[in-house]
Amino acid sequence: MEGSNRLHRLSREIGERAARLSALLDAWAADRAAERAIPPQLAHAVHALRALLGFASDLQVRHLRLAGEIQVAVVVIDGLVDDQLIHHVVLAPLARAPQSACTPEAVQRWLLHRGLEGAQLRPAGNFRELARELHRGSAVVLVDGVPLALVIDLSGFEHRLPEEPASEVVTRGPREGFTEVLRTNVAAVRRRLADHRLRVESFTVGRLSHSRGALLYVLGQADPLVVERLRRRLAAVTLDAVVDTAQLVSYLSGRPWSPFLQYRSTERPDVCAAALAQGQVVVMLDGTPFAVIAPSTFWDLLHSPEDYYLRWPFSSAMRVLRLASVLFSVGGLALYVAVVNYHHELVPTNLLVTIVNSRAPVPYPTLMEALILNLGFDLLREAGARMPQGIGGALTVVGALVVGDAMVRGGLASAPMIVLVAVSAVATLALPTFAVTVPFRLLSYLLLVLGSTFGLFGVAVGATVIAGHLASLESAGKPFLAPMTPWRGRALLEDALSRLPWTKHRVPGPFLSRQDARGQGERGPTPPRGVEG
Amino acid sequence: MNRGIVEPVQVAVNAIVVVTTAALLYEPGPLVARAGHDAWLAVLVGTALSVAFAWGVWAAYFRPERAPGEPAGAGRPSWTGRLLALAFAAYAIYMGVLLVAQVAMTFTTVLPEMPIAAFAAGTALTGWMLSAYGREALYRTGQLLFPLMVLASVANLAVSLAGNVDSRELLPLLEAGPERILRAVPLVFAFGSEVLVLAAAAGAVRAPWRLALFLPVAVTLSGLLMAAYTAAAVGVLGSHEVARSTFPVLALARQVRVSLFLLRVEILTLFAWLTGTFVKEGLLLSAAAESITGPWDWEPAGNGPSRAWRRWPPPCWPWRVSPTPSSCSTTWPGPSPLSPGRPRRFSW
Repeated sequence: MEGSNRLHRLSREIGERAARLSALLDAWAADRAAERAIPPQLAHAVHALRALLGFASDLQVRHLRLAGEIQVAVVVIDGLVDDQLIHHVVLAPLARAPQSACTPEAVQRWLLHRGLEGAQLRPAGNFRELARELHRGSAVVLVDGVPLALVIDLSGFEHRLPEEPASEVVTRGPREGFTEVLRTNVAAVRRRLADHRLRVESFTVGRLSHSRGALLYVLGQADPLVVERLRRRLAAVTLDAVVDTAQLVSYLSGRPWSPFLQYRSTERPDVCAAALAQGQVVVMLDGTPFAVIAPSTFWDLLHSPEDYYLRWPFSSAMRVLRLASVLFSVGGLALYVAVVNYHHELVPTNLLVTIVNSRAPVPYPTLMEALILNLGFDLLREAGARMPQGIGGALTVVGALVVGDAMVRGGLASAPMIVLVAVSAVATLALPTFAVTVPFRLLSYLLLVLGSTFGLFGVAVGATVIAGHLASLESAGKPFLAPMTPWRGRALLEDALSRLPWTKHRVPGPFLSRQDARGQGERGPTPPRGVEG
Repeated sequence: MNRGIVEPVQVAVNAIVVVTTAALLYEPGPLVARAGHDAWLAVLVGTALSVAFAWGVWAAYFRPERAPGEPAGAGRPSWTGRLLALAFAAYAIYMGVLLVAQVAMTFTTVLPEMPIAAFAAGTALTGWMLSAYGREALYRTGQLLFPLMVLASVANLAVSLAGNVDSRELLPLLEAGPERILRAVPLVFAFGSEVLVLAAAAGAVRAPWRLALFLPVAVTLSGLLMAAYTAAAVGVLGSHEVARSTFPVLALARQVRVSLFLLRVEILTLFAWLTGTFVKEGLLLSAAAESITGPWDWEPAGNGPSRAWRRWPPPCWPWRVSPTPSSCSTTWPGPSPLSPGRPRRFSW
């Protein structure tokens, strides 16, 4: 009964808290381990370094035996260093080591003064330094018997990723986007989060495709329960061929029938890095440039990457504008139809006369008129999206101007309705990504039918059911509408509905992403250079 | 993780929704008919009584974390407890039916060409859908829609009062003595006592001790809002007009012309009121379903009617299939970076 239920709930909460505490201890242990000096034994040093980076699969270690029988290990992170470069600058010179370098000290001397002469070399004494340098694209050389490591800076040879993502264009901010190659994408994130607590777990999915993927999170920041939940969901994927993260999202979602995207999708490494730093988890897949961020909230869908690169008043205003555009695109047309059909008393007489006059020649009811125009717009948009850019633009012009004007002149549609449909459609397109707009377009049809059938009563019914549905959604176990409900006012203002200046952001505590932000009082660090407030 | 756990703030917000939803539209009329222009004083007195009742609800149900009819321990509920749960469910169903009837009647006056059954069915179905999403989602929905309701109420009040109120209608105080006020107090208390329906969530509140403050404060705020609306209605329309009117608040809203675009705003007030009504209907249905299923050994109380219906038939029936457990154990953390554990690479 309920008593045992309560006991069960209590034991589960204790288990969860224990898991979170364990993760915190893990992060603390990792920090302690990072401060340790490099042991002289090569095997211990390599193992400690691998352990510090979570035994990441993209951490590559190459063992060499020099001519003087001294063992050396070269460590790099795959994707951050050019393979040919590491061969020419590091491996080839090591292979030419003289016989005279037969003691560890002699090898170290030779490496510093002769062997790797052309490269930018410097010794490093602890693991934190090594981890940071590895993330920056350096190679690390460890010599058996030497309690130091040599860091070879190869980062200058790296270049940015090929192209700016087409789905998330920004006016200010990095122009990098992910590619279809997993190791490149993981490396792009590693470059931005050069910390030893970043964890990259690889997995394989798809019974026939055997697609490789990566689960990224920051130890001590990401909620371990969310990470575990994602692992389990990914393990439950039973598809034969997995070619895109969109397929994984269906498995990650608790409510796959919902029209709303419960996970944010992005092509940008800077967005992924920011999400990881905030305690979210990123899922990547080889063969697709789209990464999935979990948990995500409704507000994330309204955010554009450039919100973080522009000044806060502008970013906040844009976010409010996007929310207003969502509300208008979903309910604007339905409200108009409901008012025109049932609630004339709301409209001033002059306006009502204008509407009635423009509707007079239209031979079908308001609902049909709205449906025809809305469907026409969706048709034009779909056709325009699939055509080459030049033709697509022409098609839009023809659709918007010629067809619209002809419909009004021919008495097939009223001018107010055309204006409203156009504004409603443009409002939908104000959202940052196209995929986000789809559920809102679909719901606008639902509300339109309800509004034209039952007036504002129908609109209220539809709006309440949509609100209830949104409130019931969760993303990786976190409320989808947070921090609005559950209410976290500070978090809502800080980086959800609006964005406060960087100096007013609090340091996110462990596992306290925007979904759970509470009880954080510490002020954030100074804003990153080059980024406005 | 949807576990049917709600927060104290959500309970408080939904308490305001429950108390004010029906009261704002209906209360001023009969109240002024009984207490005259001193009706707003009756609201304050009745609110004090309701606050005490709300605290009693907290002490009786939320503090011991036990919904009506629930046993104290892990054993089976007593027959007294079961009957109490049935009575509670009957109360919730009665209030739910009453609410559906109120909405249907109200909207029949707004849209007379529409069949009354459409409004009744629409309200009942929407309430059912909200409750079917589960307790947690239901309380969140109330919290989500609450700002809309408050904004509409306060804006309506503010624009109604601007330039329209005649304070002489409210004076002199206690003209007919305190007896008339006392006669109206039970009516206010009837609305305030509807907070009882939230007792169904007892045992599912994250920090129930906080409700000792939150619940009375919520009822107080509801009372203040109702008093303000009653006073506004009397101040603008006069006590005779209010006493005669079925929906004085709508009549009050008709006085308002807020902009060139909106000629009358009463439908917008109704819109906000309607959303609150749906949430309240959902709370009532959820409370009824949980009270029926919980103490009657069908299964531990869950997330509302949808799960309650899924729990039918009871487990004693031969073809009853146990639901799969929703919880899962975690294997976190993996090997510590300090320990020589196996690599954190996994494959499937």
